[in-house]
Amino acid sequence: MLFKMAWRNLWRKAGRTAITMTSIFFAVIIAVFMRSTQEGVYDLMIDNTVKFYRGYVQVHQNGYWDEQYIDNTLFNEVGLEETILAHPDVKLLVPRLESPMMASTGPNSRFCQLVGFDPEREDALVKLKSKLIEGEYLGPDDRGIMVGHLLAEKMKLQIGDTLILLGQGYQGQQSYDQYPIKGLLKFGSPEQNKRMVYLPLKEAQYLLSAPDRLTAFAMDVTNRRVTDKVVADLETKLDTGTYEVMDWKVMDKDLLSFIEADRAGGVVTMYILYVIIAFGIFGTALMMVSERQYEFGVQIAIGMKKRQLAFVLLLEMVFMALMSVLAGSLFGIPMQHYFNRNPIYLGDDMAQVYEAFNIEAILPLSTDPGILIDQGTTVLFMTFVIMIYPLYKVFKVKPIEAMRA
Amino acid sequence: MSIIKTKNLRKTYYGVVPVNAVNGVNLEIQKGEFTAIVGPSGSGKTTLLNIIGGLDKATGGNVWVGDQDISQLTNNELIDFRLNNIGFVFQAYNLIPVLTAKENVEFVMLLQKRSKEEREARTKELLEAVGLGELVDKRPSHMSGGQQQRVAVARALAPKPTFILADEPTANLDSQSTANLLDIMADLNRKENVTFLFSTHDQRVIDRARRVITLEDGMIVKDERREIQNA
Repeated sequence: MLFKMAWRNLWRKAGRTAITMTSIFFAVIIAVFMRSTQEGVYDLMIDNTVKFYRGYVQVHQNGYWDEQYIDNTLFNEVGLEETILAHPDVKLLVPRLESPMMASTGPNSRFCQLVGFDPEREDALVKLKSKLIEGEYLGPDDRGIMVGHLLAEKMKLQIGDTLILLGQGYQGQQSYDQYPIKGLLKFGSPEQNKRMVYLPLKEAQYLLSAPDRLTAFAMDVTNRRVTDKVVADLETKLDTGTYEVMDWKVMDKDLLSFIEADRAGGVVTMYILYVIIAFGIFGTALMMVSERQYEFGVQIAIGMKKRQLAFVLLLEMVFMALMSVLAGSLFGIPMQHYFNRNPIYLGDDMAQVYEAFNIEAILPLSTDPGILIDQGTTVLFMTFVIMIYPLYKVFKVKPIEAMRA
Repeated sequence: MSIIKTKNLRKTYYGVVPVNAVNGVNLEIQKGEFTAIVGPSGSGKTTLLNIIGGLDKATGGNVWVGDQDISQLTNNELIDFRLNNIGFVFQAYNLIPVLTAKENVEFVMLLQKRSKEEREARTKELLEAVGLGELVDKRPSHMSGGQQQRVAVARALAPKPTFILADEPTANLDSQSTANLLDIMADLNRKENVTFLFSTHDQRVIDRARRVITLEDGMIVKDERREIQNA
């Protein structure tokens, strides 16, 4: 009957209840939109820089990550790939041999990043074919290169032109050769467009005098949240004296730090929004207590304990908060999914800023249900905190004084 | 056997000038009495009833209900005490507005943690006894003042209290409703030996009381016992 009383009490002042619920509803919607946009952009950043380039997890020669040069490459021994691929959460394994090189046309030279790659597997991870804007995609045995379109532009190169690559090979070998440009690539990141040179793996290993050697095995996993487990499992299966296993959170510490700092900012903004709403709820709760003093006095007089009275009042506020959150969620879920599939495109000015940070200029909403759950728990927690003072007032009710009110 | 006893009961309100609302009241009420406390406004009737009902604390003296000196109870103990020993009928009915007649009567028994079967049976019995068997599902806002006060009487009786305190129970009722209510209360008093203690100005109530205690300036100035026909 206490539940029944709480429910009916809620609708005694239906207009006021509706206004309070509407304010919570909009707070939830705005908070869900803000947080989903934030998390959506983080997903995009991680996808752009991690999933679609580095891979969520990598295996290197032990010590490579701290000293990234060609002598610290791993030897792709028989059985290594099979051991890694045997892990149920590893979807794809992509071998790479990377090295900084000098790209030269003779009079014109620029720094570049050579990537020796497996064309088929690299495409499966990075969707490299989709980034080809001119020319042809390389096969595994081709002797040619694909370069970032800005590198070609700066060096005044076109498809069919020859580019000389110079650098240091394995164990101090001099590496230089010339390759025809067969394709131009366009990445989301301007930096990649200015630097990247792709050469089929076997040819790159030959160029760098590093047969069967790799800088990394990059891998795609079933889910970004399993990387810790994958790293831990692979560390038990691989010789950690020879290999190091790292996930993106270790390799992209700067990105992770940026996300965490930015997320904290977003959460603070969200809480500021909720604090504003909290005053509205607090006002409603205080009014509910003060205008029902007489009634509380009567109820205590006939034998209702103050804690039962407080429980009814708390139930009223929890009902109101739950209904608002539920309504917010019912609207928020389709909103998340709609804007996830139809991301908001940013204008030209904003697009330039985003692209400078290697992020596509779109705002997709994350569909993470955790965001909605967070709003629900935040509103409920806030309700409990707000109710402390009104409930204290209930415990202070003296029936005879209340009935004189 | 007295079920209510006060000894040198005093209540002083300390304002600019201290006012002795109840001033040394010694009183005994026996089981089954139908007593009216009368007196002019400000004579201390309501204050005396509030102290006897455990709603207010005396400045001095003691109140016993049965063997219990309720002056010694804490506020929380008083809530339990009232629930199990005292039924209240207020001038303004004071039903819980969001509950129906049936739920209002049942509510106090729910607070006593009585079984569902017992609650339902007693609610039905009491609402029929006050002549409201057909209005069980109506909320107070859909009932007349007289009907609401009859529900209040049923609610006061529901927890099987030691006695019923009624503060000006007929003040807001018309003649017919007053007569009906008094008939019901007198009937309950006669047939079930329920003890009633009223404060009232209403001559119709005074006429039906078998004992009339007159207060003036917080003191009992007259205590009259009468034989009433058809009371």
